[in-house]
Amino acid sequence: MRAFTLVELLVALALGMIVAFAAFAAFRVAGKCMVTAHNFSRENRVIAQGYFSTMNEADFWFAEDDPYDPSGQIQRRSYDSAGNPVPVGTDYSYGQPFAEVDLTDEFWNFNVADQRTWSRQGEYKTTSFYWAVGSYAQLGCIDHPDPTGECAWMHVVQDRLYASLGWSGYIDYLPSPWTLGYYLGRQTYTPGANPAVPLRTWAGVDPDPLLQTYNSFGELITNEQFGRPMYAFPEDFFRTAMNAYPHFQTSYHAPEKALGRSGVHLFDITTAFAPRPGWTADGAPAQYVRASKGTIVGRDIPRFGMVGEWPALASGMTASLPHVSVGPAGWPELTVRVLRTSDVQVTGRTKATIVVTNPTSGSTHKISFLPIGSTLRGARQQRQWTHWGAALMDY
Amino acid sequence: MSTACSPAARRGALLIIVTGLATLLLALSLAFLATMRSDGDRTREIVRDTQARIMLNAAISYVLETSRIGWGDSETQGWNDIRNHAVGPIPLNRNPEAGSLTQPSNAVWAASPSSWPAPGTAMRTAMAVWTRPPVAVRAGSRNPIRIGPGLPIQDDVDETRILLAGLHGDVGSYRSVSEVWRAGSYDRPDPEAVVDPRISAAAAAQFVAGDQRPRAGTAGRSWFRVYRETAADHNGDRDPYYDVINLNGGRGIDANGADRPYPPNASVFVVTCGAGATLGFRRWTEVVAAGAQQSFLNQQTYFDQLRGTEIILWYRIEWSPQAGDYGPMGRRKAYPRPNHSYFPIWNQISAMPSQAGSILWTQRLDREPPAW
Repeated sequence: MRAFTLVELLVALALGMIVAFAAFAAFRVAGKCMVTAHNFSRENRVIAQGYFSTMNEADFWFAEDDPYDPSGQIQRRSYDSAGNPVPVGTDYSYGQPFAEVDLTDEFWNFNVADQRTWSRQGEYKTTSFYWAVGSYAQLGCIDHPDPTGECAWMHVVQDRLYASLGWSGYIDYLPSPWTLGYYLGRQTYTPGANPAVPLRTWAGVDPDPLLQTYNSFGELITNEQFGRPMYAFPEDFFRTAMNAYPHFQTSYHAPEKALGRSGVHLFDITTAFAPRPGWTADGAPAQYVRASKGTIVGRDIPRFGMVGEWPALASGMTASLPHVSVGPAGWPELTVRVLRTSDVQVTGRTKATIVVTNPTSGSTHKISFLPIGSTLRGARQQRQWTHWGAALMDY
Repeated sequence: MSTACSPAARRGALLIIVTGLATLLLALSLAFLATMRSDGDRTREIVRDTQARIMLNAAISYVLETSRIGWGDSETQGWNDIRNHAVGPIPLNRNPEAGSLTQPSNAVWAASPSSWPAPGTAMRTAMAVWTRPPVAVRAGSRNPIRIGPGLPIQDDVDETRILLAGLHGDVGSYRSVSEVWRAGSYDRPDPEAVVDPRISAAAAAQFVAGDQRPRAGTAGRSWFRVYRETAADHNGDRDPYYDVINLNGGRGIDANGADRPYPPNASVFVVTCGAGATLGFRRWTEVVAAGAQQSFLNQQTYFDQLRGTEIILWYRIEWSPQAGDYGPMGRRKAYPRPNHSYFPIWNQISAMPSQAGSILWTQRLDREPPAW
């Protein structure tokens, strides 16, 4: 009789079970692989979306100024200390980086052929002044025999830049060595220009004109720090959305990195472009860089408290793209942030951060990089294209 | 009625089971491969975009450097000559006044006015990493041992002599950058040649020429083009669409003391950044004119296919003679505090000005420009 014995049947069942379990385990592993692969794939898709969003922002500056939406163009005006719009360029107003400027004015002449815009690498000629700041300081009229001639040009340019474009625009526009020459002051300070400071002139009034000097704002620029005189930025200037490096003790050695556009004769500071409302990170209100030559709005920071100031400002300085969701609920969540800063090392640095949080796996990936893109002047020109609305910006 | 399955039926059932399993595995594998391929495509797109943006950096470096060098034996003086603002580059030893300021007869492009770098022309370069660049050197190893009486060890931050570096040889206590490097490398004052030119004349030639063969995997990936705008390209007449500001104009005092209009701004460029294998040729006619058909299998359709898969970005930039300046540490005299806790050589190097000018602004174009 042909039939299976019980033993044969049991053996066959056992073998079958082994095969079935092996197959099941294999399919389970394969299934997990697929799920993992799809998870990674979704994350990659989201990261790619973040990358292109970031690059788009680096090139076109929508976070600072929306050419298609008037409500996103609030940085095209100037403001007073109460936050009310005032005519662009008003003295002691708060300039903004997309405000109008009159290029036909000779003081806006940044023509490539105008040698006043070039660097001169001379040394400041004052025996007690051991910072060598280049001949821009001479253009800045320190001890200059002709305070009303060419030497005044740089100061006027900077006054107008600052009043019109604000701190961030000012830094972004200027060739590297100018700022120092600016704060070192004019030879003749205009009496009455700022009633908050004493009226002084360089010649004749200072008890020791070699050691006590006055900056462009009429303030004393000799500042005892680290046991020696230091030529510091005016405090108001210094406290304006700036970040002192943690190594503050060595800050007075701050070198510039004057390679190409890099390098401003600044003093261990960082300043950032403020995004427009709706693009601010973490839901923080937009933190506009609102400082004039005389005052700062909402910056009740103790003297030399710059290190602690930056964290409070940072979240309001970082543009977070508001509409970057690319998938349904449950997909990886994308956050893209863009921060534009200038500091002693680099003018116009853009830092991008992409954060992807996967609710399925619970993992978070954070990628930071420094994209190359348009500078402020390039972005201003873009807004004057006809198909971008032909804004009146550099006329 | 028999309850046992026939052998044929058993084989059939087994076949169905095996086929089902195989189909499931195949489906899973295909889905996996499709996902991987999709991810790969997406990643490649990002890589290409990044490569194109790196080309912007390369093109800017090219514009900066060629404002001063690369046009023969003599150094030039900028895209607008800094001596009289004439349209350059004009060699240092040539009179920039010769000819008109718009068409100087001593400009490096004067002999062939319709070729690069004349305004209105473009250059093209396909990027690849050379096996060995010209005059390749490698850094000498550092020696922390005091090497002679009276000489400090090279890592001694108290070495004040290297604080005195400068670039221009001004009257005073300035030294050249090469002296700074020597000061930091007593054991080997100069870098070593990768191919020692002292061995033979042939080696010397190899040292100078480098090895231009592209390293594996670096060719056919990216390129850039630079178009030098004419004065009409930036006179504010909105033609092309990005010409919204008159970048010419202005007046100045010439060498004879006369007040006269500046020559046109010849320092604005359209930079085209490409990631792909077209080697930067804009059209097939350019390929033919350059005799480079073999690079594209002698087929225009192949060239067109390559072009279709490329990422191309357009930017405008403006060059300026503004060279930056030294930082406080770079120009001042010996520092009075000997025990400061940072490295002076770093300050020196980081305080170097750019000897090739700077880029005033960069602007991304959202539409293809008419000329590139």
